[in-house]
Amino acid sequence: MDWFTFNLPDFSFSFLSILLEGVPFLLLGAVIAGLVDVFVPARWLTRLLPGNATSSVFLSGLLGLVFPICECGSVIVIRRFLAKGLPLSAATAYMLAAPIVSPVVALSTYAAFRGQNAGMMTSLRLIIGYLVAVGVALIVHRLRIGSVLTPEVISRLPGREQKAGRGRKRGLSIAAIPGEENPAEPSLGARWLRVARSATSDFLDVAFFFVIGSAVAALFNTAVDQSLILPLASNATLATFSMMGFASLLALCSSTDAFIAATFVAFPFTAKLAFLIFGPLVDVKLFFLYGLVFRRRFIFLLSGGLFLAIGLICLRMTFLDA
Amino acid sequence: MPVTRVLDRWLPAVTLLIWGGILLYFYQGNRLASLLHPNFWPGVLISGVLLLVLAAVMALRGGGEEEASDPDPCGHSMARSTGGKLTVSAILIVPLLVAFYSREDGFGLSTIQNRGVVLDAGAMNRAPDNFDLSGYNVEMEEGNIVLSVVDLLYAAQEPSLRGDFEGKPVQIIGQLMQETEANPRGNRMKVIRMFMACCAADARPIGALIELARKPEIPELSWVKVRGIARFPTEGGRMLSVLEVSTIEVTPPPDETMLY
Repeated sequence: MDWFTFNLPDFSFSFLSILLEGVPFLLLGAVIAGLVDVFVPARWLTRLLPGNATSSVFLSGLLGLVFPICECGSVIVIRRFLAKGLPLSAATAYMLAAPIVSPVVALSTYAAFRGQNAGMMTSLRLIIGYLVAVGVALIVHRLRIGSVLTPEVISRLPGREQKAGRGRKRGLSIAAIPGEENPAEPSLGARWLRVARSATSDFLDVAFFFVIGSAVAALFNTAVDQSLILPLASNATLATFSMMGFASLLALCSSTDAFIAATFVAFPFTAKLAFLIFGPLVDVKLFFLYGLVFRRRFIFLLSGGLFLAIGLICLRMTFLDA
Repeated sequence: MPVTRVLDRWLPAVTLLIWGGILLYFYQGNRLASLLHPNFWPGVLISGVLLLVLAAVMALRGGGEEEASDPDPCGHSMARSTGGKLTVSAILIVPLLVAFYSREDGFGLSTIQNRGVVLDAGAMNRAPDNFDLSGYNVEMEEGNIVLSVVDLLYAAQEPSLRGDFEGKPVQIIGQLMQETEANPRGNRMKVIRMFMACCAADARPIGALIELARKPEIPELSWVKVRGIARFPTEGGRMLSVLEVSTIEVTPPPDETMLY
């Protein structure tokens, strides 16, 4: 059997299923972002968090427990959070932790791994996912903002509009982003109109990358012979890193990926753990989505760093495979 | 009215209209059954309606006046020019429409082979949503116990179920496939169903082996109704489910082609 066999109807079927599964989450993220944009006063978020940056990062990493959102939606939401004055490090902690540190993910992981040390898998996934997110956020805190965020996002940060010389930015969207708040208190109708425009703009921004990422994922999961990775299962290092690569290519939603990971019975426990931690942080669709917020160079470094860090952490835990 | 302003208003409206329309199209008439787990269906309905509402808002009130007066809109370079806007719109719309019109209601042989057919329940990890060992109700048709492929797989691992079905006449429905591995005497094929965790992209084929006196003149992946005697041999360290076929006939696909 060839390793690659393209079939348009199968590709289309898989592509549509990913889109139909993901669009409600994208739209939810866009609507939340629109509501944040219009109804949450600037810097309100910063007042909620502790003044100390480190404490703020640790707390933000837990916000997914209260505001659970999948990885696609979290990118949209933090773009708005940043524009509302949330510190970059706290936003990064929330973005990376929320797809893993959430009650939905905990329940689905536990259910999927019934009979395969479910309690251990669920606990380790949430704890390591949280620590990795916080660790990355603390590193981001020490970086220059210009080396992390795109110029478009930077120009929308509070206090940067005047410096940039203009207040309205468009992102990638074909839809116009509504202008900044009117000095005169707008009517409720006008504010809801702004929510609609903002949500539309954000949704179309993200949908563009989601379409591309979904197409890559659909191509992989229909055209590529997946038995090719099975021989890797017998070597812990190869198994761990190949499962992380596989998670990136499959681009599954974090609330359901455990059901897929659990089926790789030939693979060690820690390789599946690596799959479950790395997948929600870096996958093909996220790679494109992150481009809405982060610089390309930062995305490459983030992806490579997470790949190595999570792989090495999981490899240090191979005693669990015994 | 400048071209940019027209595009700002109508491109998002048309894009949202197409996306919303396709979501609602799939929601109605059980079309989602083969694409998504039922847990996700309400989200598709709500999203479809919301996208149409947003399309209407953009058509009626999109591209606000303040945008038109912005002399130097910034952002991604692709979306600034007319050509860029049209390209972005094309990427949002064309793949969706191509997929919509070129899809079939299920996967073909190459994808099923690429994913690998699961022949023992241990590799499945979890039972389908409606699978309940404690309340198992035996349905009979013309003297045969009506089972699904997944029932046979679980029976191979569950001694009490195995006892219920071993050596008894059983009937299953699924898609016919060649068997190349667990086929020592060359007289086996398999009957498969797709088992979905959340969407078709993650669906995995699961199969029960069937043993035939002679190979039927039925194309691969045809839906078949197979009747025969259930056996559970241990081969290569795995306990497999095998149906010794008495009859095999082509049948219409079930209402829900996927197992959840």
